[in-house]
Amino acid sequence: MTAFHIDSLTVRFGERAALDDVTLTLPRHTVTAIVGPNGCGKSTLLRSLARLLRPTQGRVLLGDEDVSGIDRRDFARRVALLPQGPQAPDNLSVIDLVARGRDPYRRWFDQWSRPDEDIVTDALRRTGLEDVADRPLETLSGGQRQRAWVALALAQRTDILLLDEPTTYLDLAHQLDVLDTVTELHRRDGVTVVMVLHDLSLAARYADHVVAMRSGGVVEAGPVAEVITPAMLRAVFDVEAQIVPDPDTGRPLIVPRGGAHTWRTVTQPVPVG
Amino acid sequence: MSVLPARMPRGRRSGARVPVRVGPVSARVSLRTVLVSALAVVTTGVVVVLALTAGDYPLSPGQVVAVLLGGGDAGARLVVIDLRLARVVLGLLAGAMLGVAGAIVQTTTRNGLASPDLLGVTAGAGAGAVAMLVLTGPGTVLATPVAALLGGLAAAALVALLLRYAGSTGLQVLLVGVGVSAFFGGLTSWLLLVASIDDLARANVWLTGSLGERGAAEATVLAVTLAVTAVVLVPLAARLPALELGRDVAAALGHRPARAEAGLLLCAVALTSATVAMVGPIGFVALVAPHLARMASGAPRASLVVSGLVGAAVVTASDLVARVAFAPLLLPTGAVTAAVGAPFLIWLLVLGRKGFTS
Repeated sequence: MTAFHIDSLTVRFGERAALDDVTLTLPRHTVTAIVGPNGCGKSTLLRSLARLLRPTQGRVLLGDEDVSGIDRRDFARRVALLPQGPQAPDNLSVIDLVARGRDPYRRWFDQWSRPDEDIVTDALRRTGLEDVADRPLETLSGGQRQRAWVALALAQRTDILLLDEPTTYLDLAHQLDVLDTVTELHRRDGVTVVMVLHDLSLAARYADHVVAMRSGGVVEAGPVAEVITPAMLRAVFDVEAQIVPDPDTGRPLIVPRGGAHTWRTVTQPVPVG
Repeated sequence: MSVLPARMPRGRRSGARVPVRVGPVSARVSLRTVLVSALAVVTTGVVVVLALTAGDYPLSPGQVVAVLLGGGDAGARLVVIDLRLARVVLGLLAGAMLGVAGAIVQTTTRNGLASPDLLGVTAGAGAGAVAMLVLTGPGTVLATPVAALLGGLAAAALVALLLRYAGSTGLQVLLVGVGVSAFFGGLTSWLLLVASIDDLARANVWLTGSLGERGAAEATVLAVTLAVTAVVLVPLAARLPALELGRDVAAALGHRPARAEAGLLLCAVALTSATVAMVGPIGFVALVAPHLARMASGAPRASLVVSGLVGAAVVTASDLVARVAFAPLLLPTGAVTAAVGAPFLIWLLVLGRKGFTS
């Protein structure tokens, strides 16, 4: 069961290839994390899945349909995207934000039907924001605010949720808060989640499937335990690390030893005298 | 899971909204916005009545109301309907159009300092209209708005092109607008230099931005432009709430942000150009009206309708002041809006942050 099949995808910005001939399959009903160092093409990959970027070569298949051939409203009913660092105008209330998630379903004269109201209320409940629904976004905590954006995507009622660095600029507690909310959606409704994560240890903790990228290409992709290995960390991140099983979850836990260069320096015996 | 908000709201809530459903039509309506609209309508009504009383033959508000309701004596009817009404209607239409255009530009560009006049659209439309006047002689009532529209579009295209290279945040937009305005202002001055004496006089009257010396023909052009634009605007305006979340989010919600923004801005340019062609450049209304509308409704964005109502009230009130403040000397309407609008712009600049946020 695949959600997306990416077929020899190349995306160029001018001369530079942000993605270079990537072929990859992303499983359905799974939480997938795309990881890699800055500028490796992970956001470009996610944005290509969401059709925000046009491929220079190759194609992206949703199920067995080329995404570029799908009607845009139909696509928005099947795939939701939360871009990185989204901005809302001042004084926008949570419910007004989340209500926009119904846009793919409505006509311009039909802005707040009863089903819209029910679905938006449900999205607020599942993200734990019912009590703050009428509050302006800027009065919420960072975690609540990000959950409101997740609720917007949720109101689209899609099977697939794409998240671009959903934890950027958040405190650790809020990072966990947002990712707990997202994985709970996956657990309860089987939503397919594909997210770009900057933080490897969060990826190891929350994702079942991991795609590791470097320099516009996929280095490794597969179940989390097979991808998060000392060899991958060395090859992709230039980091020496040990992987130990998390005592609570059994998931891989990364214990960094330092950057590859420092590691070598430190282990060399220091000449004395 | 439960994390306390970083700061508690201090009575800051977006106004309560109630669902309204009639057949296939449904909406969430903010009570405060309805209240503000009603207030704007009442204010405008009072100003209209006052404006119709003032002049060489003073009338009482009672007489004016009687005439407007279809009664009144023949003398009062002549003064109100034949002499004064066209000017007031012209002010209402011009103000409404500038208010709507300003709200569109501010929301679409996500920039509180962006407005058609500050962006150079007004200057471009002015240059277009003067070019028509000077190069082809006095045209028909329809030729001038078309020429103004072309000028306005040229200015808008130039601004868009420059912003692509200059970056389009906050003050850059203002600076590019100043540059483009200066360019088209220069063009207008040159056209006036080569103009014949007759055309020059005509152009000068027009360039001061005044509701005087105009009549029913101009009001009709404005009414038709507003009606045609509204047909395009109503469905497009429903996309504004999604557009203001940014292009990526709008696209993810199934919209075509670039196309919708272009359509909206085109409407704004059409509204502004038609106004400039008919009554001359009345500055600052398009900047001030959306801010007043937004602040009064406590909403994140100025509703086009409320902004239009506020614009209508501002222009009719300014024109009343222009007529009575230094009577019998008549000020151009644009002078009054500038006297109020320029300090408002400076206040926005000093206030900084608020108006600029994306």
